Amino acid sequence: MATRRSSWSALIAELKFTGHLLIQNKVVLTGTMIAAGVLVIAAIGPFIVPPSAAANIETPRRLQPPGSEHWLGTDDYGRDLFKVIILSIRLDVLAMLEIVSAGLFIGVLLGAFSGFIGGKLDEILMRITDIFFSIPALILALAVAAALGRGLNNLVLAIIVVQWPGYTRILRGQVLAEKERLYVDALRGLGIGRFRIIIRHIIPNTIYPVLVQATLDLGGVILTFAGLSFLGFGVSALTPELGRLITAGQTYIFQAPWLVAFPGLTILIMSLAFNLMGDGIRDILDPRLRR
Amino acid sequence: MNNVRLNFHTFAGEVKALDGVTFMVKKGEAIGLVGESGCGKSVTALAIVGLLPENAYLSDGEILFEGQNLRNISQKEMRNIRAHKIAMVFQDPTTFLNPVLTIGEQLEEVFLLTPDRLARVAAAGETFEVLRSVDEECTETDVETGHAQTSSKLSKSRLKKVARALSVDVLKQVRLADPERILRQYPHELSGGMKQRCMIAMALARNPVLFIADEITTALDVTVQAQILELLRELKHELLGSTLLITHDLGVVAELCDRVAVMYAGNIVEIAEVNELFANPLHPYTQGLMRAIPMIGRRLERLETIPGSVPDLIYPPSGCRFHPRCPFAFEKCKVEKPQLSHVRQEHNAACHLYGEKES
Amino acid sequence: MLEVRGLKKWFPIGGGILSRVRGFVKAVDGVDLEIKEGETFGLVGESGSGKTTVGRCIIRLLEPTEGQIIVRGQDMAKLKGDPFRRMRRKLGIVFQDPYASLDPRQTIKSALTEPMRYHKIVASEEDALKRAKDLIRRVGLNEDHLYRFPHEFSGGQRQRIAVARALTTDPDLIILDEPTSFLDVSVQAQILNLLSDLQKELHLTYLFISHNLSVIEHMSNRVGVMYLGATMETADKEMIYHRPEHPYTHALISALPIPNPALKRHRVVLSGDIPSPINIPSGCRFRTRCPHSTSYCAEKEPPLIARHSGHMVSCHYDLKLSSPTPVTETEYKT
Repeated sequence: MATRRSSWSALIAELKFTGHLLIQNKVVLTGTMIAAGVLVIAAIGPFIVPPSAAANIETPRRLQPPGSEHWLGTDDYGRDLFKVIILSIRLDVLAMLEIVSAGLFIGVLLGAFSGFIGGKLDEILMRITDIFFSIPALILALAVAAALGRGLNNLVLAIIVVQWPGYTRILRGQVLAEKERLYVDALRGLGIGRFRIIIRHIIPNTIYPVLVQATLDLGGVILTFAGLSFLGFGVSALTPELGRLITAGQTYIFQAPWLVAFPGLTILIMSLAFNLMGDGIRDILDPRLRR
Repeated sequence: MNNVRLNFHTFAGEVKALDGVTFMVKKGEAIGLVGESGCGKSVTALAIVGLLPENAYLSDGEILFEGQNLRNISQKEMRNIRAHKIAMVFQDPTTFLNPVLTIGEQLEEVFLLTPDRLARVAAAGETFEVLRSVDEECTETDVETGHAQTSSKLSKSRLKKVARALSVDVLKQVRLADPERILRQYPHELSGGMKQRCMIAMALARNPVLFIADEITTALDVTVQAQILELLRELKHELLGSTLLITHDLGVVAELCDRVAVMYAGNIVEIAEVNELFANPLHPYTQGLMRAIPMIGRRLERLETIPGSVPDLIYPPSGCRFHPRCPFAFEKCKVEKPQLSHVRQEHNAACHLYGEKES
Repeated sequence: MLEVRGLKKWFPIGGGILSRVRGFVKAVDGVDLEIKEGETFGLVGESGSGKTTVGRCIIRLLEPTEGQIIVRGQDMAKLKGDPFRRMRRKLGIVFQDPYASLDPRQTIKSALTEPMRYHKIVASEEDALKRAKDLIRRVGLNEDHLYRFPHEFSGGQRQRIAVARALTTDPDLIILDEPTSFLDVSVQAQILNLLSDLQKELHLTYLFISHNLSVIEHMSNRVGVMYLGATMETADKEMIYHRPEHPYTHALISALPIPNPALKRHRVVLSGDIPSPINIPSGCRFRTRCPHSTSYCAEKEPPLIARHSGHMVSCHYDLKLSSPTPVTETEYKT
């Protein structure tokens, strides 16, 4: 390959190729844009809607249907549903990001060391992940959440516990292949220790598929989190959170269906959007993964 | 091949892989196509056989095979030619042979491509010799329309029997011991050298007019390579028709070829009779190449190198593509591309050093 | 400088927790070598000969099953920990595949400075950068190449980088494992010249492993010929190429196609294929393909013994073999 051309023109060629792929699928594009929008709302939420909108109880206004004053109606406590949903998005998104990143951190480190070093450590870890896989995720999360007790942090922890084994498995598979590659031999030949090789070389080169899986998981994690919140785990009644809103709205499902419909719809759209975005990312990165 | 220009369409740009390739393979001769990687020798072969990838296109030139321009013919006709006339063998037998079929099944498949020949052979005695004489008697039209006429007279199982007998025979031709056993084996059970012989057998089965071998000894050990070279030498004239031998190894070329063409960056820069080429290399690239090869007995402290590296074919150098690396380059070389012209007896070179005389 | 005695590397087949060991791939089965300071020792062999495995065992990428690896008087084969790390620095290795031997995500600067920092050879980041610049210039590249990634370089350039990297720990012996096999002829010439130059400048010792007989002849002072895991013959280059005493060496040299159609010579073509290292023939391992083998060859494995001044041969008989290379040489006009 010539070196006369700058690395910039090679980069431009690659970007052209990537852009070509991205635009191809309109559905993915839509999903990505919605996901981006959700993230923006999560970021600026408390600045456009005062948190008091969720805290103040104004009984006279309760259970009003969607109208010009309250776009999505009001709930049992008289709170404007639209404003409360905006605030909830932030909480759910933050929880989602926390869960996935913590799961990634644990999963990647365990998978990398286990895969590279092998031996007994690897065997034991694999059996542990096997145990985790043998129980359906939702049920396991439920059990752990119940054991830990109520509270937002406990719920997040419970779902992290369920998230990490998947990443460990994927990464370990990648590491098993990567550690056979010649540059690893070269590094070992130079006398460089295993710890350094794993952290500085193996992980960056193998993390792609795990990152892809993580973006695919985002949608599912929202569902799990909101779902378990709905069941009563996690936050307390007044805290703006989508699952909780549905719990509260259940009672009034025939009188004020909007109380269940809109939060539910929001969960659906968020989950779907992140799912589609994850799909798109995977489709783009997949051919690259095969390099 | 006359003035063949071939480009590859990629996201990074147009790769001008072949830039006016012109050469001739005479009947019954073995011609070597030598060059380093990226010079376009494999592409040339693939262009002849019509096995180029989708993003390749011939922008100019013609490929004439037995008088017919291969650019203008249909897919079906090309397939026919590949079945009967041109056989190509590649470097890596492991990827070339189907791992889930036995050698026998793959060989028979080749024979069964041409049921008309088999039918004739069945009548006259089922040996490779007979197959060869049948092919010699065969005419053009027979090849194209043969299917309908004679094959319908024979049952499928009969054809298979004939194919099998011929398979055993052809394996004997490539000096494989115990051919019946090999027919039953899978590729992974054979060694590299044996697989190469099987590939050559598959080529022989077609009784080709043109046999193209693309780096077939490169992946082999030296002692196995010696065996294959011996085999090719024995088969050269009698069985293989004309041979186009593609390699980067000048030693192989010296052993087997009658004429040699040297390629650089998509052009043939020199073409000559083999003894003549080694005795008097004319093109600076050929000279550089020969000096760069370590040879037993030559006592040198350092090898002479060709400065620089192979050019980028998306933005090739102007004029003569070798000029940036050529120790003798002058003004004209940057501007005008030299054409292959006659310099000595049986020796053409594309270089401005030798003036322009019509060949 | 380096002495290898009785090196063996056997890979078990089967084994693990649930299955028992069914057999061994005897990749290296008793190798003895001696490399003098400052020389280039060429190790030749075909596939299955074990030459690459020998290289890997010496630098301890593989743990030897048996044998001693004596570097400057100290046996490295079983060393561990700090003393091992210190010994390791004296050795360097350059691999065959320039496209795979560099971490694709690491800049060249990082690739060069990493070993320096790890082994604390340099005191500071600036010193590391200075050394890296010096090394990259020595191998024929520019300083601004340091800030690029491997995929931006050609095969030949990557091998230069690999050589620079091997030099970062200031080694005395460099193992060159087929360093030019993947490269074109003209690039190969550049790299071989570079290696020769560096050897003189830095007083390096080389173990040059290759299957390419011409390259070995050009580069080496002494040559060892391996077959199926053992050494068949070891001698000065001249002897190996013009007066070999082992029939395998003879066949190997004569098999090489010579790029000169005017030269004719008698070529020995061996019958059969190389046996599998799982089932090494009894007695002399070469006997199944040897044109001179006798029944005694099947009974006893010939030891590697010195016949005369440094010429070691592993064969029961003193065969008077003809010269495998052409005696007359034509000079070309080049």
